[in-house]
Amino acid sequence: MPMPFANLGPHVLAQFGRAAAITVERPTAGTFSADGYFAPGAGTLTLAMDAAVMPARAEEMEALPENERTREGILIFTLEALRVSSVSARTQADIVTWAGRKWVVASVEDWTAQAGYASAIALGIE
Amino acid sequence: MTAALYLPGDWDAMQAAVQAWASAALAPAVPVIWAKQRISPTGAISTIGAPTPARPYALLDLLTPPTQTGQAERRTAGIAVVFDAPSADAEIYTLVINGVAIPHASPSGAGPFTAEDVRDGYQALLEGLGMDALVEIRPTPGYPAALTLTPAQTDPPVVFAAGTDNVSLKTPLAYFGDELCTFTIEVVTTYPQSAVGAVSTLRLALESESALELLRAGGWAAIDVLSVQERDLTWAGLWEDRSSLDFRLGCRSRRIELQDYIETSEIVGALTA
Repeated sequence: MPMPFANLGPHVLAQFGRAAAITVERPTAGTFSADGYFAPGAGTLTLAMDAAVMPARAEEMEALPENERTREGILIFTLEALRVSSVSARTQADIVTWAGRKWVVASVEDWTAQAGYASAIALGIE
Repeated sequence: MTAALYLPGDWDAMQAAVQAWASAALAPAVPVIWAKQRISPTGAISTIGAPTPARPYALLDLLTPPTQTGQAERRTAGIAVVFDAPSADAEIYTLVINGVAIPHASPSGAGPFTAEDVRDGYQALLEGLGMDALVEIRPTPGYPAALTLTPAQTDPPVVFAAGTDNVSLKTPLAYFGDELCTFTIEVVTTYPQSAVGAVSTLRLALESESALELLRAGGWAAIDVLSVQERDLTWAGLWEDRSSLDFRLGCRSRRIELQDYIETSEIVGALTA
C-alpha cells in the first residue's frame, strides 16, 4: 500500500533538531517462571537510531497511566518505531540511552506506514 | 516432617508458599505472578518494562507486612551455634562442640551454599544428636551471605577457638511471637471468562484441607478471608473482568538474642586464600 502522506520522516527529524544517534536496547522475549517472577530473555538486541529528542510536554505526560505521569519524560522522534512491552510477544519495552541516561519507552505513536516517522515517550529509569 | 518456618529469616520461603498455594488452586489456566516484580541487581535491563502475561492471570501482592500481635513468648534454648563467616570463600569442614566433632555433609556435595543451607544443615545435625540448639549464620559485613563447603581435606587443618571471629557457642534467648499479614490476589480475565469464578476457586481453596497443606508447609496458619471484590472495566476495547480476594494469614516469628559464652568450641577447617 502506498504511503498516504509524504514521507515526512527526514523533515520531522530535521525540524526538531536531529540529535546524535540514540542507542536502543531491545530485550528478547522473556517468560514468567513458576515462582511468579518475570525472567528476562537471554539476549538484548542493540540498535543505533537517528532521533530528535526533546522534553515531553505536560499534556503528553498526562496521557500516561497514573503512576507514570509525574516521572521525567522525553519525546523521541525516530524513523523506525520504538517498542513498548508486548503481552503477545512476551517482550519488554525498549530501553533508550540518551544524554548519558537510560529511558524506558512508555508509549508509541507509529506513523511509519503513513508518514515515515514515529514518536515515543520514554521515562527516565537511571 | 516439614521444618517449621519463622519470620523474619524464612520470609522468602513463606512468600513462595503463598504463591505456590495460589498457583496450585488456579492451575493450569491462570498463572499467578507477583505484582511487585523482582528487580535484578545485575544487568541494565532486568525486569523494567516487563509485560504482563496474557489474560487470564492473577496478581499476588502483599497488602500489609507482618505485624506482631500480642506479647512475644520468651524461651531459652540449650545452645546456639554462631558462625561468623570470615570471608566469602571460607571452607568449613567440621564443627567441634566439647570435643565432639560434628561434620557437616553438604546435601549435594557441591557449592556454593547460602547461609541458610549451612544453618539448616547444622540445625538438623544438632537436633539429630539430641541437642536443643539454634543455629544462626552471621556473614561478615561486606561479604555476600554465601559460604562454600568442600569435602574434608588431608591438609593440616586450622583450628579456630571459641570467641574468635569464626564460631562460638552462646546462650540464646528466643522470642516467639504471632504475626499477621494480609495478601491480596487479583484475577484478571477477558470476556467471557469469569474472574469471580477464579476468585471463588481461591476462596474454596482456603478451606480445602489439601490446599491448606501447602500453606501450612510454608509456615502459615490462622487464615481469614477478609473481602471479595468484583469490578469489570473496558481496556483496549475488550471487556476486562477483575475480581480480587483479600486474605489474612498468621505465622510465627522467632527472634534470637545471644547472651554470654557458655562452652568452649572450635571449628576445624581451612580458609582458602
